[in-house]
Amino acid sequence: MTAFDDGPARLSVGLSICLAVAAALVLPVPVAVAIGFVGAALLNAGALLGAVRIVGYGTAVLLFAVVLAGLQGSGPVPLVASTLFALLAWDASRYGIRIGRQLGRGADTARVELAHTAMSTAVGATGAGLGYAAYRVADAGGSAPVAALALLFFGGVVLVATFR
Amino acid sequence: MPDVTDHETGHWRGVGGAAVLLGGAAVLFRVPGLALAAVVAVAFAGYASGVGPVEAGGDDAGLTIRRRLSDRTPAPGDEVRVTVEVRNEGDGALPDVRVVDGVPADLAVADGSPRHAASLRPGGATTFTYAVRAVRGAHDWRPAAVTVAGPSGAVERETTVETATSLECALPAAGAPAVPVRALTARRPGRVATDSAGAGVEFHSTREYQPGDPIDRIDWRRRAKTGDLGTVDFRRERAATVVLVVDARAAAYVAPEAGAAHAVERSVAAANRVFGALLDAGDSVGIAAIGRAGEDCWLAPGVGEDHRARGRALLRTHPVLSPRPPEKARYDSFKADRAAELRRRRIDRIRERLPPNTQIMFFSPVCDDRAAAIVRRFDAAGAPVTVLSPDPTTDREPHFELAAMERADRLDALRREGIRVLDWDDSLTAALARAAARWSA
Amino acid sequence: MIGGRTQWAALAAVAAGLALAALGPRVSLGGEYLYVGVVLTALAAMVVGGASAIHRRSEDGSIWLPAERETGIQVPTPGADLATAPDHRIKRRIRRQVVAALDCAPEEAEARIDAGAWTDDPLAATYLSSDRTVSRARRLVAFLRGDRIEDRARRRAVAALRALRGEGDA
Repeated sequence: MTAFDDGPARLSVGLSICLAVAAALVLPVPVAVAIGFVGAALLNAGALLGAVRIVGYGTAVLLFAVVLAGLQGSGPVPLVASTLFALLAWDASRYGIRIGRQLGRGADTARVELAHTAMSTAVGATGAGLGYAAYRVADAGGSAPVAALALLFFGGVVLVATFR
Repeated sequence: MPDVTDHETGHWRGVGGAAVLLGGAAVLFRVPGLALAAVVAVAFAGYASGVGPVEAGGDDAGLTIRRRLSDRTPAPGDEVRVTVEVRNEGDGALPDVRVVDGVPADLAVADGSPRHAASLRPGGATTFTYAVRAVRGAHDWRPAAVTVAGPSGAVERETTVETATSLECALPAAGAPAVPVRALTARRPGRVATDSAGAGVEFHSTREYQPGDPIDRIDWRRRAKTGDLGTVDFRRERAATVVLVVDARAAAYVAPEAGAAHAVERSVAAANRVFGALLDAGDSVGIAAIGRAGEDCWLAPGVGEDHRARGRALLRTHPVLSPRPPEKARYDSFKADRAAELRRRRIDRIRERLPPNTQIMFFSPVCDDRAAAIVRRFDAAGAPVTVLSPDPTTDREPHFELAAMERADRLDALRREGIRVLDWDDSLTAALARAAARWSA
Repeated sequence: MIGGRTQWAALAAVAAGLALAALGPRVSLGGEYLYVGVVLTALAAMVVGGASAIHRRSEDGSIWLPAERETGIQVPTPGADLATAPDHRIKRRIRRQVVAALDCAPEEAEARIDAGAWTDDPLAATYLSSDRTVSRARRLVAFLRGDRIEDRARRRAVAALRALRGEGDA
């Protein structure tokens, strides 16, 4: 009889490692990729150790890398993809850590982990798709698009702030 | 009514900050691509807060649980396989159901895991299985702890689901395989071979065969020599009087590893087998125990079926022999010399009740010096002692190995003083057979 | 912290933004003033969002943590008390066993232990000896290996004791 092993669930950790590395690789600016790798390394370390805070720091670094890539003139598609992968990695690793603490590695949790990550991917991809569609619409010249974006952004953030 | 608790896990905490970071940078530096990235984060934020706890089917989330046991009346130490089915009887889909089954407090899980997770659509079910090691007594399953999480993982609804399941573990009726007890009691004062002739072990004489004599006493040597049939007579032996003393002090509750049967369980199981076997052999057997405070554990030596039933009931249910260890050692709170005196008196009380010519069989792991002191005190009073010691030691770590060496030395010291010691690990029967060869030599 | 009306206002802002985006080039708004307004809007949004994020961080997220169900009745393993005992107590018990195992008078046995002459293993010998202490080089090697030096020394001492008793790889 073995002691209860409450380490992070393996499938989720594996998924998050792949996603974090992908988030770094997808950026077109070398400096951003380098910083992205640092972030991915932090995120993966946190995922393997079961430390949620370190996963958070790693994700923050990955997002800084996205901003940097944007400032260096990256197109919107890599930025969106990197953000999506980074947030999915964050989600998967936090989920894996929590499930591991609750049910342990000995329990068969693969199906729920896959279901959770699949749902999150669907949500994120939908958001990315809708946003990209709006971007193509707003791409047609003038100062109005910037105003449009600002309003969208303000409204969206306030909405987020009112949520739990 | 099960207790329902909602946990806000904070799973998506920080996504809002990510949206702010990306969106703010987008606007400040006029990079539209970053605004799109921000939209992804906003989408997750909306997902996290938009979906509340799963409100399906009332307090137990519409879940039912069923258990199947491979054996409802096992013997101590047997593994019982438990198969659990969790079914979603409600109308809503439950994408994330996590279960921890309510294994009874005294049973350890020997194989598999009582924890499981599944996605259940309405009417769907999931099954998982694990094994527990049986321990004496009646055990009831506790309610299974269940959590139903929303798909985003932001909220977990904790509740319980139960069904009545129980297990009754009793000592087996001692019978097969028979314990070769003759070796334990032969050639001891009290079991004196008499001068009268008949059934027994030691050769006495031969005589003419008479119709009706038992076949297993025919003298084949005489037949080979002379062709006549003769019957061998042995020295008839008197029945022995034996008291089985079980060491159930706090120090005896030790086991080689978590989940293994501890020494008191093994001692009680062995005492149960020896009790039955000695009664079968015609001896008068009693039971005593040394352990926690409370009702005295004592059954005076006797014979017969009623007595057998009383002895088995005692071993099965007496509180001093409980599978659960006592909170602390009995005399720990006394001053040293008072404690020593109380310990001596405890042994003397048992000694005083022993009929003359009683043999003692002491079941103890002998993992502390006091156990050896108990043996010596009985021995000094003139009662011949046989020590039957289950080995609870392991050599996994150096300090465990050290304890194993100290135990071996204790047993050797007792042997040097002429006390019979039987040290067994796996099979009591095999150890007895080995001992029989040693002791009759 | 923020009520339902603000939510409607925010939704309205999002809708207006989408509308503007759709109308796009057909609407021309006032140049530089617009840009300043946009920056101020963005800063305000960041403040609101940041404040809200900080507000939420101060509440702890709770998760479901089910109680342990696997262990059953817990009893110690013989010798477990030694695991947490101070080092000198363990040393004393090992010494006692070595003295018992050595086939000579107690005083001579003690002398041999102190001199380290009871075993070939240098680490075990040094561990039990009251005259010698473990060299710094050994400590460093143990540290690099990830062991505590006392654990290694104890393991070797017990192994040497086992050999002395003639139990071999029991």
